[in-house]
Amino acid sequence: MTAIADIPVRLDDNATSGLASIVQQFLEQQLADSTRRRVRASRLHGRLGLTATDYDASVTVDFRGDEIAISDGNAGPFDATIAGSYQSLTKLLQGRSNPLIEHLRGRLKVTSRIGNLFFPLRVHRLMKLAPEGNH
Amino acid sequence: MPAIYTTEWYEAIKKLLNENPKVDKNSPRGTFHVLAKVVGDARSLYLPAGELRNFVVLFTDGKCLEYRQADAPPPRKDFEFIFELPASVFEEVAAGQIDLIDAGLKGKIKITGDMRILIRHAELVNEIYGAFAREVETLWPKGKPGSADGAPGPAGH
Repeated sequence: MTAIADIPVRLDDNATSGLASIVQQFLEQQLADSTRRRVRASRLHGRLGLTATDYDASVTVDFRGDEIAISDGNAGPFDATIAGSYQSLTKLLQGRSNPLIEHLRGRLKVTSRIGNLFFPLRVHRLMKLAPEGNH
Repeated sequence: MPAIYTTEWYEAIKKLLNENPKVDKNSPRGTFHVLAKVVGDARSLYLPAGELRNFVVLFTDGKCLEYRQADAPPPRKDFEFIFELPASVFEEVAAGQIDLIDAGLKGKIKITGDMRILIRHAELVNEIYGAFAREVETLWPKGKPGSADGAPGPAGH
């Protein structure tokens, strides 16, 4: 696989929420460990809104190709949004569920812009944890 | 019934964690050093503003081998996870008055460490919270958190 430069994962200066800090550290660690993930991240362009509905906590994750920026709250317009309980979002990141299936089952509400229809699935592929022992 | 911030209370927490099969089941394998930095604040009846308490917790293969207060602040690099929080938040969590996950998501608790481990073992957080907030009987000699008169409150949770 072609070597690729680091993709900084930046926390907005005004972000104070724990969710934003957790997502920032999580993405930074995921990318640091895997060239494949860095390549995927470099090809992602779009803004994702992520909401834990039961805790009224939201973050915006802006994939810009050469960097990823995390900010508090819903800073649309979005290419995609994923909203659901904290437990459902955790299962998604753990790689134990899929955004499309969880949406169809009513456990998550997933939206995406027509022009970037598969964005939620591509983001999920980038972010979800690999099976234990793999990266 | 041990009082908050005493060796007996730390031992009671440790015992509860080690007797809980769900803690063992949901814990990552290996050794993890955890540092909790509790910072005194005006809302705390137990830790005045400006004071700091460091708690060192050692987990190995799902068992809590150590839970102690450290006199001097240990180097951050010695820990896989660091939790920093105001004393009033720590006490409200221990009293079951605020939700640990809510405090974490809202930024009342600053968490530093390998988030992949934390997310993979997210169920463990619920079990640890349960030990603090619902299971251990805590004596509050100066009153429970949030009590306006500061009257002693023996009620445990």
